[in-house]
Amino acid sequence: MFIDARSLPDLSRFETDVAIIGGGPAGISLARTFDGASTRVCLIESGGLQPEARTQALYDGESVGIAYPVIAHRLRFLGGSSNHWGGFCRPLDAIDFEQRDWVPHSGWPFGRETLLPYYERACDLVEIAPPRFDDKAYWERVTGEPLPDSVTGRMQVRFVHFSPPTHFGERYGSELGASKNIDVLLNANVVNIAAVGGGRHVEHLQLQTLSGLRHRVSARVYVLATGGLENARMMLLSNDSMPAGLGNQHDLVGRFFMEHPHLSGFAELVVADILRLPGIYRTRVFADGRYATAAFNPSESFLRDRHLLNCTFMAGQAGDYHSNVAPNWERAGSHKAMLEAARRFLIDDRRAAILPPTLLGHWLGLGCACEQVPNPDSRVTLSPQRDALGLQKLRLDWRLTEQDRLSALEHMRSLVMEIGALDIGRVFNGGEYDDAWPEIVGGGSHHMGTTRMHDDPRQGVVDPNCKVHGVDNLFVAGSSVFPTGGASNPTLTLVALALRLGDHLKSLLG
Amino acid sequence: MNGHVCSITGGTVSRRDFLLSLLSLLAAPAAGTGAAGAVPTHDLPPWLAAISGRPEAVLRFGAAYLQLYPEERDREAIIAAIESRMADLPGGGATAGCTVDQLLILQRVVRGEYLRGEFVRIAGWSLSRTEARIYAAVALWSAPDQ
Repeated sequence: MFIDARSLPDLSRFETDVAIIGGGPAGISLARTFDGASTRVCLIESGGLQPEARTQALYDGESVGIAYPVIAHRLRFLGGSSNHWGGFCRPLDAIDFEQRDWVPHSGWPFGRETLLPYYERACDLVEIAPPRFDDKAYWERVTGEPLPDSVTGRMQVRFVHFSPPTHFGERYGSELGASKNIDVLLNANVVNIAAVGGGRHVEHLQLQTLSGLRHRVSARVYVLATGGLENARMMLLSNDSMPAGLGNQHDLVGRFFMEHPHLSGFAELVVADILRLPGIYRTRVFADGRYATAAFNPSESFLRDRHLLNCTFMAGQAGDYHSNVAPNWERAGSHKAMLEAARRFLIDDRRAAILPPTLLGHWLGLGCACEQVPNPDSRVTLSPQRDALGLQKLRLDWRLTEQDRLSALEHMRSLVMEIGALDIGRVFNGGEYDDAWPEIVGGGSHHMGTTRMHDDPRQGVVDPNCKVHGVDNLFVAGSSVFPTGGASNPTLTLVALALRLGDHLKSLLG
Repeated sequence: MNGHVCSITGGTVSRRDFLLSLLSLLAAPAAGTGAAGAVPTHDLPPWLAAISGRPEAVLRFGAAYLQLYPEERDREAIIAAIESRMADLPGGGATAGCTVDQLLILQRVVRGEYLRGEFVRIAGWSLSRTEARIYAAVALWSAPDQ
């Protein structure tokens, strides 16, 4: 059932079993696991069913590190940031879960095999089942094109599926609304997680609407699922019984913020014979009801040998060049020149003879999403500025390290080696990352690490079951619990973790 | 590519003749470019004399390479450097052979350099060392005062 908190009498009180704060992909995935059960669930969403400017403004904040528009990277209405999701789906790699000597603070408390059954269920939720993430033979069969093996040993082909993309609010809203045991409280902002016993037990949630009404929700367990930035902010704001913030006894809440630095357009590829790069590398291929594309990923052995971070490269076909059409921008002139110069290496006469005589070739943009090292100085804190509810806004200080940059550079080098050695084409790279990170680095709206998971309370905010260390009934869902971020988009993994948390809570609550 | 080499040179040729032929091929206009990108040919050496023109592109990258590596600004030395890379390959030591075979050796040289990460960045492009030297050789052999 949907309940608009603005329509309730002031000081209304709710009693439930599970209170989930945040109606994004994590919160909705978790709530659904209880549908039809005897457990009562209250899903608390700050926004409504549609975006509203005043509510969205509550996401405003400061960025004091790498420039990062914190308000633009998130959406605050039912479905959360899935409402602007690009739909990229791929599980983390097995190596991403490992403690790697060369990656400080790395290591999940469990391996990928623990998440596999939940990944399978998550694929259903994001509408990409059955997934074929690593099945090269399958994609060769459905596309009819052989996919080249790596000749350098540095890379491997992996496949990324595309969710429609699933907007969780639209897709699952009616199901939640019809549920007999799930209440969805809309336009309800949690302003404090009220704890007792020196912050060891959450007693209730204080809610406030933008119209000034105040309500309260009491539950047996509470789950914070407001996203990778807001989860940390909520814990830091909830400081009435623990001045440093709830669960922040070891000054870890908000630290280790990670993104996937997106080196969009870091390089361009020109090819004279398009058949040398199979179509699935260039475009999204539709097969068995869902789309996928191929990505260049570093091989696990190469990551280990060279002590590198993970990375994903994807290409997209951007345009063609003809000898009788003048280039209309400077880089196009360079592309054309390279296609002319290297033509003897990039196409054989038999192929050239059957192509349009003026066709020189094609260019593709190359994108790269990189893993960054967990860094305690890359962090979320509270700003002195306040929002419309009187709460301190967040302050984000996103930082990248030299290790991150050098790792990305080595992977770029691998890509050049692979493409050149396979006679696919030639790579242009302007060198923006050669000496330092440029002033502007893009992200993917992937907010990870700020309530990281670890067995040891001194090294993590939540335990392997996503329970906040030192608080007996508070859990966290979402990518903020990722100890490391790999190079896969986080949505599929955070949904899998939410489903796993659902199973855990069901066994806990009986 | 193989067809081009055989049609111009044919038969068995020396390594040096092969390389010069290749340079002439590189200097030839690419698909559909006609003479628009051509440069004057009056100072070209005999092995390029039959070529009506060549694209600016090869010269552009060749000149950029020579700017970065001025110590290689020597016609004979740069050809020798390319030959030396070919000779390093199994079967690449012969001084004569079918042009097709020699071209395949050169392709293997370039592939091998990419494979080993032996490339240079020329005007933003990551090019195998030998590939870049080939462009530089064209530029050197086209320079009127060389």
